[in-house]
Amino acid sequence: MREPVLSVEHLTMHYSTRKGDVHAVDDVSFELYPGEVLGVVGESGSGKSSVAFTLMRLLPENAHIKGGHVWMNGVDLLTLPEDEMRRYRWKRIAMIFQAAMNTLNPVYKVGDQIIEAMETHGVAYGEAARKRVAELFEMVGLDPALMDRYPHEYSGGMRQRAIIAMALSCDPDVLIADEPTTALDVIVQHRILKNLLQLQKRLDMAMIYITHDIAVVAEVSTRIAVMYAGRLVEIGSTEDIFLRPKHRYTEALLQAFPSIHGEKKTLLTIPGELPNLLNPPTGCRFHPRCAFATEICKEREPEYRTFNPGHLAACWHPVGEENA
Amino acid sequence: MSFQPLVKVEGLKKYFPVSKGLFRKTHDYIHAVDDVSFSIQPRESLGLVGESGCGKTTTGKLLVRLLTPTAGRIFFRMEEEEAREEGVHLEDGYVDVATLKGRALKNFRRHVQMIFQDPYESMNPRLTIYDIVAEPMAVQGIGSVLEREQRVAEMLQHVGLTPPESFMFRYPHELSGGQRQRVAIARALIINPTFVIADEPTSMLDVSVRTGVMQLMQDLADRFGISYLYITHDLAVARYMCDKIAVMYLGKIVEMAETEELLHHPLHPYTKALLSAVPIPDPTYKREVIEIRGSVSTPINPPSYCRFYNRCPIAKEGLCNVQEHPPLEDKGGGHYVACHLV
Repeated sequence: MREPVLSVEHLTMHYSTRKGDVHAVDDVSFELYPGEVLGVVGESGSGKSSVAFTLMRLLPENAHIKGGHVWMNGVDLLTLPEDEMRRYRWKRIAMIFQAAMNTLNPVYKVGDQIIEAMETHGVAYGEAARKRVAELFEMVGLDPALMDRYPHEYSGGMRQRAIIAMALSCDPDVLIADEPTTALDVIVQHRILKNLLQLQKRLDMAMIYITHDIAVVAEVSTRIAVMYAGRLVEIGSTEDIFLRPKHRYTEALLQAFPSIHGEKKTLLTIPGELPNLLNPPTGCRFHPRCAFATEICKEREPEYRTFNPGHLAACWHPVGEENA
Repeated sequence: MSFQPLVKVEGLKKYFPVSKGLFRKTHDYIHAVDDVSFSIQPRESLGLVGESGCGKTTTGKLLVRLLTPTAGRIFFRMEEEEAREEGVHLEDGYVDVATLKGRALKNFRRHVQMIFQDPYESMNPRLTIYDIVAEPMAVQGIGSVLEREQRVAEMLQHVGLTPPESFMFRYPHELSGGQRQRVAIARALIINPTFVIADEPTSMLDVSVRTGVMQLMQDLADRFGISYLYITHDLAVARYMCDKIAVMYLGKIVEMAETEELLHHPLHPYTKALLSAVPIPDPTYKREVIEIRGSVSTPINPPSYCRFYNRCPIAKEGLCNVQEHPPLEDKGGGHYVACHLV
């Protein structure tokens, strides 16, 4: 059995607000193996981005880690003092953010910003750092001459490539990509995804790819974790999730998603709205919207069951057990 | 069976000046919409798809006359009687929207409404849901206060915000994104328009909420006999919402056909590339991607030859960069393409 590069155990994180605690991430566990792409899919408020920010320890002040561990090489990242965490961040575990447009400082040349990141982490200095930026630019498909330009001279797709170059500059073991292509048009999105996956293979990184888009996750991931309202409801191989979903939420999500390929199937509607995480539903968090919910779903939180090696779901009435 | 179209757009153009300083004369224009023609039948839904900056939203705004066209005509079909009441001049049963002004323009908006993308920004946060939904009636001076209240309650019921009393006196910030978009739909439909322009109405909604809103828009269109111009960047959503799809590229329609025909038998090289880049939610599907060079530019004083020439994988030098931009022609069965090589 391969050793995971990253192991998340029972992670729980709440935001405190004036109205009370927001249960953003509740008892989430998963492992990330070397060389794999784990897709984390969920809707707004599912906790998918909050998990990423917790792993990076880049949380706002009102966020409180209530419990759990994030193991990386025998070290629990959650207990590291901030100055030691700084040595892990970007060098061991790096992140590409959703709002790429705002990640670059508009008054510095793009190349200089990446050089600064490398110098801060002691990866390379001066001319060597410049050379490395040129290499990184080639890798992500940017003309190295662009390193002496400012962010406003870049298009959206070019900026996203520069951000990827920056995230890769310190040669991380784990790369977290949080909706890196959401704001881009499909043709550019496709090119960036292709490039990102090539790099992930070439550099043999493990990647966590966070998105709301089921179609994108189908294309990039080897394994998929489905999140709903702060809980990880199902995890399994990409084939397990798409061809043999077990959780009723996963099933409903797949049936609600349109595709331009194949027969035009009828889209099914999930009734109701996403829950308010100040006061999440009791038992299974999906029960108020679930067509299969019974008394037990309201009362007790379902435990994970293994359906296939590595395919787990937490559902009282999993798909295929209608009469159980 | 052929009806007279509800909307006919002919040679529509909108150029925006690019200013270069206060006292310099403007020489440069962005050709946001450049010679666009199409028609929409009653009860038909036409999808306008394309990447950012292709001119799809500008086209939508021209049709409701939030913008005034640089050139071209927008014909909207109207009954003789209605036209007389509203004081507009008809030409073979159509009013030319492009030239409407003042009272006639305001009256025209009884028939045409718009739904915007962002349910958070298209509503005044200080107004109650009742005020927001009743506003078109108030602007048009339709109904008494009591009638408006009844009509708003009825409309909220139609869009699934029930019971209406529990929503009427709340504020937009108290509702979720999906509920707000339902309010926007109620507002657009309250004065019984026959034509609704929907600009990315579901692109900010979560998947589990989106399908419900899409379904609602279709049900209401069937029930009230509405035609949509559905503007979107998402071809998968367009497949479910539209009878026909028109693909725009840098201000031009490059291809237009029945939805399934366009998705399964695209003819224009840009449409082919666009469709091949759309991710498919099926891990067993292996697609062949047609790569195209470069990215979308801004159509500032574009050349007169084919707009797609620089990026086209099949372009022929000496033909595509010499002749004028190809006209949109019917290649059989109502499948329109603008390409020299098809």
